[in-house]
Amino acid sequence: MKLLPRSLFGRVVFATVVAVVASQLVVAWLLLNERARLASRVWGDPAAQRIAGFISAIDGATPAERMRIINTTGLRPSHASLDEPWHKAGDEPPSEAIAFLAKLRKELARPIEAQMLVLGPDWPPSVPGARPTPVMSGGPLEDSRRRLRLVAVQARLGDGSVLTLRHALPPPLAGPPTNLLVGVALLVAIAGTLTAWTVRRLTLPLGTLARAAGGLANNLDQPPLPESGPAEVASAAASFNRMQQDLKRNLETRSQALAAVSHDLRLPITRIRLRIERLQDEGIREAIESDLVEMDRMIGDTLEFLRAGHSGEQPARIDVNALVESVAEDMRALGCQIQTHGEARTPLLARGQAVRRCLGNLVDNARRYGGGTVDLTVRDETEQVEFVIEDRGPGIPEAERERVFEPYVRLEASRARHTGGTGLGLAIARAIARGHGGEVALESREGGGLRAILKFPRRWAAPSPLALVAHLGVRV
Amino acid sequence: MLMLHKTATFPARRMTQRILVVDDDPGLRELLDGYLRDSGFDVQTVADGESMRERLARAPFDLIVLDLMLPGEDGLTLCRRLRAHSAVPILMLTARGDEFERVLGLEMGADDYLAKPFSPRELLARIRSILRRAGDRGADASSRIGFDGWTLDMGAHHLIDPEGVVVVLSTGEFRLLRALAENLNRVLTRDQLIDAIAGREANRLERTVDVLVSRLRKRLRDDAREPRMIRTVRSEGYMLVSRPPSS
Repeated sequence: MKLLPRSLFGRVVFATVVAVVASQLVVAWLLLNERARLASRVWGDPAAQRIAGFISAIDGATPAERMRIINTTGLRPSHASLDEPWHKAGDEPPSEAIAFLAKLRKELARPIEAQMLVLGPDWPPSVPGARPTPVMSGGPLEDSRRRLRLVAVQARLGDGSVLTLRHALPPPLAGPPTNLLVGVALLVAIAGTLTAWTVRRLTLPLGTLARAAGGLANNLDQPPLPESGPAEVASAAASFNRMQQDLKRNLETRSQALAAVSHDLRLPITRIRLRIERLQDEGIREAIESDLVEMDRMIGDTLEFLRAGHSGEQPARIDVNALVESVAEDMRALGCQIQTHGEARTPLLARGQAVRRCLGNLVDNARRYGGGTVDLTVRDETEQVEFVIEDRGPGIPEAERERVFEPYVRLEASRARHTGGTGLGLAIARAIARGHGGEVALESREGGGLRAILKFPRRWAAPSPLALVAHLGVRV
Repeated sequence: MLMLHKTATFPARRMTQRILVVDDDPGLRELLDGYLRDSGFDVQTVADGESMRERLARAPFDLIVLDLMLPGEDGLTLCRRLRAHSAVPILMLTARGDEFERVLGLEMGADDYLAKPFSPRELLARIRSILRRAGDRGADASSRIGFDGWTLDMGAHHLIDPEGVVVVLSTGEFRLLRALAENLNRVLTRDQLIDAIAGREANRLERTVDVLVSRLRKRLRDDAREPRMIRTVRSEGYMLVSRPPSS
């Protein structure tokens, strides 16, 4: 079954073509059979009857009468004579000859020895016996069949004389059924084309649906599918659009709940901050303050993650090199050995603070887990600006490399908490990158360590201010 | 100055400066009242816009701390209406703290904004900074400050170079530059600058004013050995110098 095409389109076209060819072959076989039967009826049976009658008449007549009969009735297409010798027939007479003789014998008044010779086209049909050189018919069957137009029937009469009858048979019907084959080919072509067109129209929306389903994970805001085409396809598209709406609403509800909780926590934190101002014990006050800072960071990260990709920040042309240097300085201030390489030739259209956060999170991740030495490379390509962040730490097993981008996932929880991570850094970085039409991925660095590759496309269709206003209607 | 603010005209006649806090949370109102009182201000608190107007009609204030999210009329609306007939300095308290709110707040006429949860010391620093500016030259409601071809966007936290390209600043860099830009051509002491950059987001090591100044010089492409924009004033502090466009 490996020959079967994989696509629905291929399969339907294949099945249709096979069905059309098979049905046409059956029809053709029936037609050819009928044609052969009809042909033998038309020229076989009446000729045998007539020749048998003639032989019987000559057989029962006196020699004088014979000549008279021959002269009066020897009309075309039959031509009779009595002065030809008994020709020696071929060993294998053609099947038509055997069938003809069988019919002939049935019609004869008494059994008479008779044979049938198939003559070539060079046999002069109108000249009796003068230079008769009968072309014997023992040749290959197809050869005889092709030439079966002129036959000679010889009968050994009661007195031993030989009656030779030449008979021109109507030419056989045109040889190979060319018309029929052309017709079948035409039918296959028409049916195949129509099927292909129809199936293509049916499967195209399926392809669109598949692409839409694939794109949903990255962009819940993608435009709805057109609900057109055949009823089933339109209904599938409508269901898909409904599903997208439901998903979006569901996600928005949960995001709003999470945002609301995070939001509301800010008020009590503010109050606690004011309350601890009255504490006399400096140590306790600082401990509480540091707890509050941590809580605040969790809230900030959560809100930032929920907002990433559609923050209120306006896109602008940003100086990539200054940004990289500034992020590197942040890291150096934290005691990290960081080297920067490469530079961007032109500014990048992006949301500056968001990109700073995104790059900062990735570099900070490298600093925390990467053994203190980090390389930050900028590659300016025509289509995109690429940031490569490499560390020399233990790296992340391949199976875990996608999981770390999920919110609140920490590979080594205890260690991450020690280093103060909220488990949102990479999730925020990815959400920001994707919000810019970019991507971030992790891979292992040759010689140990982790490499993060962050790409921002230069051609980014920043959302229009109108879309932004529409979005801000739903406040996160 | 006379036309800018009535109360700002006679600051010396009152012992303490008057602050009106507008917030719908009773707990926060009480705490702010206590904290600001301890810091030497005369404080009154109200819960909504209606009471705010009543208090303002009774007596003038030097500064209003206005919460953005209020029942009924929200802080932005109140701010805009207030601005229509008064130059009283407004410090907006926001919970989102993102660019959209900052820009909107500054455009509605707020002098500054502070995102919850702020630290009390940060609040105090912002209040003092606004009052200092208001005392000097009245409220500056502009959300952008220009100097020497460069522009500091207070809403977006962006520094824009003379070619219009955005230089993204860290929180510490922004706060320091904001303080310097708000006091253009005036010397700010290290203490004043430390006040300005103190905040929950500024990290421990960034608090070194000198480190931040050297970082800012790089951002401004200023020569560290012979700085022409952020000048070091020996034994006093730093000053952001803006020359007139002609020079």
